[in-house]
Amino acid sequence: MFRINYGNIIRFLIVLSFGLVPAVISQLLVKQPVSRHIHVSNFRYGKDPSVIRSNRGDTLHLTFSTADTGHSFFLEEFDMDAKVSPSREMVEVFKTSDPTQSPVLTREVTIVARHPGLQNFLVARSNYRCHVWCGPMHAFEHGKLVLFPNTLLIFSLGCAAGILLLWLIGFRAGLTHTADNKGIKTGYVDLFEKSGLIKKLVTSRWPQTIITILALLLVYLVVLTSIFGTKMSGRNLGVLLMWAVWLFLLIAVLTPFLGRIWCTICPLPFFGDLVQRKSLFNPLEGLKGKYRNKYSGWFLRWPKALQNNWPKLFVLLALTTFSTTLVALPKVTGYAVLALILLPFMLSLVFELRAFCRYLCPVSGFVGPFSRMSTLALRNKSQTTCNRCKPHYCQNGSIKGWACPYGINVGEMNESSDCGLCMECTRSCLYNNVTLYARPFGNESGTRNFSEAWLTIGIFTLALVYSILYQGHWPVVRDYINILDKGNWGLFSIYVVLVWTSTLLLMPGIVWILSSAGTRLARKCISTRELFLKSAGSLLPLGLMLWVAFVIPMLFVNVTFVMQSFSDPFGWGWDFFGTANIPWHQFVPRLVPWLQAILILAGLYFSLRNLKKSLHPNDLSPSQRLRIIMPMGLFIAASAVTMLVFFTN
Amino acid sequence: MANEKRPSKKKKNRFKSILVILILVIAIVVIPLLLLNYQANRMGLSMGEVISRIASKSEKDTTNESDSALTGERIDFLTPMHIGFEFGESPLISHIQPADLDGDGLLDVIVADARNNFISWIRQHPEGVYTEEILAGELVAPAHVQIFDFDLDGDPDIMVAVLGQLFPNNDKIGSVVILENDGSMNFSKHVVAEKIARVSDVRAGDLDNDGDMDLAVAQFGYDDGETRWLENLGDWNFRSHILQYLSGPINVELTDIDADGDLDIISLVSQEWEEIYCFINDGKGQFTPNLLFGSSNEDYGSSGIALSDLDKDGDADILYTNGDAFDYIPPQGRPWHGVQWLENKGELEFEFHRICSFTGATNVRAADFDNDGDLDLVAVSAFNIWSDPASFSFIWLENDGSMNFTRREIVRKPTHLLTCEPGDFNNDGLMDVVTGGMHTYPPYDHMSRITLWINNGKLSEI
Repeated sequence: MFRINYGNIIRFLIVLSFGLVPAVISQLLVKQPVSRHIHVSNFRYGKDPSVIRSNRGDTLHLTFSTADTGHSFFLEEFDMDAKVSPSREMVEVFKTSDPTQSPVLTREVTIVARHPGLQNFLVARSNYRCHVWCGPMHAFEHGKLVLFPNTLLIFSLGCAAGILLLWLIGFRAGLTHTADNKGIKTGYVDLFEKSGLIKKLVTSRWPQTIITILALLLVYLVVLTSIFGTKMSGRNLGVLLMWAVWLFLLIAVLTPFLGRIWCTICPLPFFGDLVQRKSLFNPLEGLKGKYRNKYSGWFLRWPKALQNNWPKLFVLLALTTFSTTLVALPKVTGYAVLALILLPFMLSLVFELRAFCRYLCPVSGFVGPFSRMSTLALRNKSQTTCNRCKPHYCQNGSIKGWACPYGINVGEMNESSDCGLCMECTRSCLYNNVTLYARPFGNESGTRNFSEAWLTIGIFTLALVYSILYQGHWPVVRDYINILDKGNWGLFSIYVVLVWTSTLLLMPGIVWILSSAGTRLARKCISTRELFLKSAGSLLPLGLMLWVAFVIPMLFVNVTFVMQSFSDPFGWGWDFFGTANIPWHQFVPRLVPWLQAILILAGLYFSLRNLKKSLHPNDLSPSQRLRIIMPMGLFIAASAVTMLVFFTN
Repeated sequence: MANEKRPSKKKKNRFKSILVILILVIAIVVIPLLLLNYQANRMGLSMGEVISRIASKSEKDTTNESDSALTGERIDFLTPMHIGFEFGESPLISHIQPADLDGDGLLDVIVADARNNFISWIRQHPEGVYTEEILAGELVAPAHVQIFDFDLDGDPDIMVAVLGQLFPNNDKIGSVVILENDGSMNFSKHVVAEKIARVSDVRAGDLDNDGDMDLAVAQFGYDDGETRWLENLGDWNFRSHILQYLSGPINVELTDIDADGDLDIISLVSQEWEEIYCFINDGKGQFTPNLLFGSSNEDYGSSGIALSDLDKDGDADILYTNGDAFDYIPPQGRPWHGVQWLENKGELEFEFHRICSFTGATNVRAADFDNDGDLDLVAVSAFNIWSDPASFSFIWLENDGSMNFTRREIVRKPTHLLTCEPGDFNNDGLMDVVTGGMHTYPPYDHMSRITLWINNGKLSEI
């Protein structure tokens, strides 16, 4: 039964009013419009100025030049695309709404910094981009036009203040949430009980096998198109499917709502499983060590020292270090995906179960921690039944199902991060005691050990790094990653050191110091280590939302290119669906900063809430709890505010 | 009973697994085969040839062709003179075409000016006096002109390929324009195709053997170019037929390459393809593609083709330059750039001959400059390394009659020469040359717009 939570509605309205009041007041502060003359210099890969700030209603007189090759000043919200050519003062100005219209030749483009209708009050930030391919990093050449008053910025900062205030008041008011993850299923809804169809679809092997094979064929298409298709990444289906569509679906849709559901249909372990199991369906009877199924291969145990999240973190970091190369050079994407198919297969010949997925997979390194936030979880139905079960069919297999490829005993599972949702335990449990639950978002808090904490902090840090790198307006930053056409290997090595240091040392160091400060403030009623693990976990909701905010423009800017590439997957001049040559348009560009701001505010709310709920209210007084988590809470709030300013201003 | 059941269940289980794997294997094998077959049909190649073409692609120079030309001493046989408008800003001349437009027996020059977006006529009248006038304006970045009596009324018209923007762009901003001559040198503009990918070349000819003139069109686009032909329906109406969707077509040429009595289309496709195609006409306007040449170097930098019976064996050979460097930072040529010709061996077989390296080469044309009865070549470079004082912008290649060439340099300045065309401008029986400068990037200190290079006969004296 759906129940209205009046408390939440009131809290939401309070936060909203914190945003709305200053946002409305700011409308009274509009300055008298003036004329501004701005010269925009274009270069590989940036614009100077990279930020144009003006008052709403100002008349902007824009002139252009280029320092190297042809560029353009594409500002879709103002229906203009000025093509800038070398050694030429005149620009050809096209309408973005209909680029086939004859261009206007002019030395100066004049626009009035105003949006139509209500949008005039709501839209403050627009990105200007380059719409003339000017080199391998062309996609990252952009700047921003910011109009004052910036309603979105003021609104979102107000909301952030409201969230922080309510959080602080929550301590005083003694408002508490569920304390921890351990076996408590508050708000969980048993989906198998609710729908027989869901149970049938999950426990049957056919749907999963069919979808996995389809995913495998899609990955195959990615490999083929990336390796053999056009080297223009913006027109290569493989690159776009991987880094625009799949990444968006994974981060923004699958992980928040369905956790590690990608692992359910992930084709990477397909061949490895096949070799080990020699069957795609029911298990073969037999024994292999402690497992009650017949397996092939050497089936060695993964080294004990590496049975943690460190290898995943390093693989993830290595992959993300070369992210620009992966995106800009389709062949590199193709070979990387190929390696991701071959490696699990080879490991499965040597090691037991899914060694790659458990200890090395960068995707699992990413979605694992975030799956703790998801609204879907696999758990047992009855702990008592699990306690009574000695054979641990879920973990060791049975005649009905394979042993858990992730080595998990469902009876001992309170967190979702290790579970790859392969659904095998729903088949192998002879007590029919495993089910899927729908649950509230951001349900799990804390981290269990250092490697998990480091991984969590790592993916949070990478969200910040990626946002700055690819969506920041600073062209100099992109010079640090340009090993493609500028060959900036010196700068790149500095970038590598910075990213690895900030991910492995700086950010964990900050969290540790804040935890230490918290324990000191509370006079050591909790250990720094314990608080560090809890604090790291509290970064998950904000981290996830930062990632979603990052991938939204990655897809929305490239929607047209995705459509083009489906018609011409290899860039060989095909046109299957008649969309190969459609003009480029961004998807709802005016809405993007709003979506990003709302996501970060949601992340802030959930992160602060989880930080608070990670401490047992019974053991500590409200003021002790406040003192303990105040430093980390302020850090989370500061991070959110910084990113709000970054995305909206 | 249970024991009997178990093996059958096991069998069923195995059968299901094998079935799924079989479907998977079939899909893995069949998908690429279908795609290859589709591509093979489009390219006019066998599937094996498509595979070998894909497999041989690389971003390095793998042509391994060494220069066949010897280097000879410089002979000053050309005397330059600037003709046409004076210029202030750096000139952007995309093409020039010598033609006796007014029929006065003196060669004039038709100019495609991408700086000022017009087509102009540098009229020679009286002899040795050159006056430029604009024939048609508001043609944004015209790329190519052809002088041809399109409407068969006895006077020359002008076919204009209009890019819509000089620099790479995917927008549909190209157009095909015909400047119709009323016989008194007044030209009316007919836009026969517009809102299409950037048009880089257009040539007229009767492609469907119905007695009127049609058009073959190269559309460079950017990464969505096309090659098409426009069927003349009369009254300036045309029906469009797409021949190929590859990006980067630079030139189209019309010739009866298979000697079956109809015009075929030869096209040069640059970008990452670096291929020369011919589209064989069945006589009714149905074309079948054939790949004549493809470089394995994705960065080959194809910049132009021209047809000429270089070996004088009665068929059209293909002159070919590679030297496009727009993509590089700075836009300077590469060592593998140069001049080559494809010898027509008949039956659509062409043999590649590298003549010489010439960094940034953009155009090559054939003419007998030394009046020895064989065809020599002139070539220009727009993307040489201008910071190096030893970089030449204009060379000629002397033919010894047996297709052995000696490379002789002409000048280093002016720089950035994009286009050249030979012609006897002063009717002295010696071939002169006209060149056009495209100064899109620095240095801007040795610029030229239109230069006429008068052959002073020194070569004939030697």
